Amino acid sequence: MARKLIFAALLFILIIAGSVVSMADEDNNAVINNNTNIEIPLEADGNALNNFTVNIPEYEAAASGTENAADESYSAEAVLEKYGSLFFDEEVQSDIEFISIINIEHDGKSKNVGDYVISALVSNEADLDYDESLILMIFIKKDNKFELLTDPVEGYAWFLTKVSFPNIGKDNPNHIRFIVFPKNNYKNLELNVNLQITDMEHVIIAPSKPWEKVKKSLLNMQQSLEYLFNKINESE
Amino acid sequence: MRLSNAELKKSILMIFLFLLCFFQMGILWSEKNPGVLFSFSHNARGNDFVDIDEVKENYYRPKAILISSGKGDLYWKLDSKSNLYRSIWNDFKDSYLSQIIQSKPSILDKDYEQSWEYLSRMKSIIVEFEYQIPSGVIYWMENLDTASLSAVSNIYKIAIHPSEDINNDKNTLYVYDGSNVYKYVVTIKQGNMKKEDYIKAIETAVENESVVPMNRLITYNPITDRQDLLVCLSDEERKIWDLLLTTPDKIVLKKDNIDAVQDYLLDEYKGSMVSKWSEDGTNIIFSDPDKVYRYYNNGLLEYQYRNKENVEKGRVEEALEEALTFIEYRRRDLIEGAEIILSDISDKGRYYAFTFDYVVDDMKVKVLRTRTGTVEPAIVINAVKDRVLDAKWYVKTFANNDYSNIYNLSFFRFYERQFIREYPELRNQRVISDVSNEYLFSDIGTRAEPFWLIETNMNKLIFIGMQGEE
Repeated sequence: MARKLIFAALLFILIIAGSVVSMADEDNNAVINNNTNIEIPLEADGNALNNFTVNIPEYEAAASGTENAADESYSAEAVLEKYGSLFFDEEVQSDIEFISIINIEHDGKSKNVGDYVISALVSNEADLDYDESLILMIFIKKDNKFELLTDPVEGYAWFLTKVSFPNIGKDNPNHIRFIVFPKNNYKNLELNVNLQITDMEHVIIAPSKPWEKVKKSLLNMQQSLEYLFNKINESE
Repeated sequence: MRLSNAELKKSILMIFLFLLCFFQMGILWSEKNPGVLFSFSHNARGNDFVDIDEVKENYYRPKAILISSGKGDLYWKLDSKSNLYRSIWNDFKDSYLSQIIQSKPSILDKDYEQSWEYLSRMKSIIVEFEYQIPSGVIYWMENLDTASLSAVSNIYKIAIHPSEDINNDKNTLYVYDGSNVYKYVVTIKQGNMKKEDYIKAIETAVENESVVPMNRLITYNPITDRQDLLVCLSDEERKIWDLLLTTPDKIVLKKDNIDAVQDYLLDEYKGSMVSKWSEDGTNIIFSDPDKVYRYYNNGLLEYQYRNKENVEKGRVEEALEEALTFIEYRRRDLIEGAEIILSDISDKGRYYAFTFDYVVDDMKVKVLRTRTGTVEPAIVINAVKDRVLDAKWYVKTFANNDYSNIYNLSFFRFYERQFIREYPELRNQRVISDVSNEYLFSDIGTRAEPFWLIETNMNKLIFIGMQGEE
C-alpha cells in the first residue's frame, strides 16, 4: 500500500512539475529599445526599391515635352547658316555669360599632345529654367576662317567635351571661339541677350624631344664641370 | 513472493504512466528552454568552433588600388579581381604592412615629402583604405607582437614610389595617416613583386585592360571641396546584375523552425533563453538576464547586452575580435554569394562601433529602410574588449537575379542626365562630399539594384538608380 502511495505521490509531483514548466512564460522585460521594426511585414516579392528609383515624373514629362518641341525643328546646320555672319564676326564679343570655362586639361588617356578635355559650367548668372538646355559650339580659327572643333553639344549644367587642337607650340596658339545660347531661343538669337560669344587662346607646349633632353643634360653637366673647376682654381 | 497477475498489470501500467509523465515534462521543458544540461531536440550545427585567426584577414582590404599617371589629375583604378591588384595587396599583407608597423620611419628631407597632395600626384601606386586603420588593428591582423609601439598611429593611404630608391631590393613607401606623412624604405622580400614590376605597372597602366580611369572631380567641376574625390568621367561601361537577396532557408522565421533559428543565431548559452513571439508574429525575442536577441521575419537580427554599465572598453583590436567572432559564429552555412568587409571603425568613447558591408563584385550592398527612407549598412556591431554590446545585422544570402544591364560609369553623364534633373536646386553647388556606386535593397524586398550614392556636406545622402543602356 505504501508503495502505491509513494508512486502516486511521485506521479502527482511530476504532473505538477510538468504543468509548472508548461505555464512558465517569457521575460516580459525583454525589450530592445532602439527597435523600430516591429511592424515590418513578411518579405514581399514586389520590389520596394521602385518607389525610390529615378526621376520626378512631372519633370520628365516637362523636359521631354520641351525637348521634343525644340527637337522638332532645331538643327545646328540651320542655326549656323542663319547666324553665320554674327557667329563668325571677328570683332564681336559678348558681355553675357551663360557658361564659364573651368578647365582645359590634356586628355591623359591619349598619347596625342593635342587631345584635350574642355570643362565648362553653366554660370550662376544664367537665368535658366531647370529644364532649359544650352547649346555649346566650339570653333577654331584656321586661315582666318572658323571651323567647328567638335560637334555642338547640349547641356543643362556641365559641359565636358573632348577636342583635338591642331596647333602645337608656344608660337602657334589655338584661337578658340565659344558660342552658347539657350536651345529654346535658337530662332531669335541676339548678342548679349541670349547669345554668348567668347574667344580664348590656348597654347600647347610641345614636350621635349629626346635629343633636346640629352642636350639639356650635357649643358647641365658642362655647367657643373665649370663650377667644379672654378672652385678648384679658387682653392689653389 | 510472486506478484499476482493483476498486480503485475498495475505495475506495468504505473511504470508506463511514469515514463509518459517524464517524457511530457521533458518535451515541455525543451519547448520552453528554461535551461537543461542536455538537449531534447536535435542540434542542427556540429562544430561550433571558430578560429578567427584563419579568417580575420578576409575582413579587411583596400577600398582602392590606384595607379597615379603623374599627370596630377588622372588615376587608374585596378579591378580587385586583377592579378596586379592581388599581387600588390599580397605584398602588403605578407610583408610591407608588418615592416611599416614595426620599423621607424625615415627622415623626410625634401619639402614635397611632407605633402600627401603632392606625393599622390606623382607617378606612383596608391593603396587607399576606406577608413583610418588603427595600428593596433594592423598588429592583430598581421599577427605581430604588440610590445613595440608603431610610429604611425593610423594607416589611411600608402603611396608606393618604386623609382625613388636606387637599391633593387628596396621600395619607398609614403604612409598617410589622415594628417601626417611618414616615409618608410621597406625591403622587397622573396615572393614579393619585383621593383621593375611596380615600375612597369605604372608605365603601362594606360594599356591595362582591367583598369578604370578616374579623375579628380574638383579639377573639372568645383562642386566638391575634396581634393581627393575621384570619379570616372569617361564613358566606361560595366555589366551589372541585379541581386536576389533572401533570408537563408535555414533561418526563415516560422513556428516550426525555431530550433534551427536558435542554433544558428544565438550563442552557445541558448539553452537558457526564453522565447516570446510578437503579437503580430513578425518577430521573436530570445532573452535571458544578460542579453536579448530579436529576430525579424525579414532576416534582421538585433542583439543587446543588458549590463552595459559594467564593461571594460579595452583595445580596439580586442573589441574587433569580439565583433568578428560574433559574425563568424553565425555566418557559416548561411551566407553565400557575398563577402563581408569591415568598412569603418569608430571610437564611441565607452565602446567601439564597427560597420561591415556585404560586397558583391566590388560593390557594397546596403539596406534601404522603407519606413524612414534612409540608407544603412547591413551590419553594425558595437563591442568592447570581451563582448559584443549591440548588433544589428540583416542576415542575407545572395545570388544573381534574372536581370542584368550595361551601365555607364561616367559621373559627368549621371550628373547631367539624372542628378541635376532630380535636384535642380543643387546645380553646380559645392555640396558633394562623396560619390559611389553601390547596391541597395529594401528591407522588405528581395532584390538589390545598382545605385549612385551621393553624399553631401549637408549630411544628406542622395541615392538615384543607375540607368541601364538597354
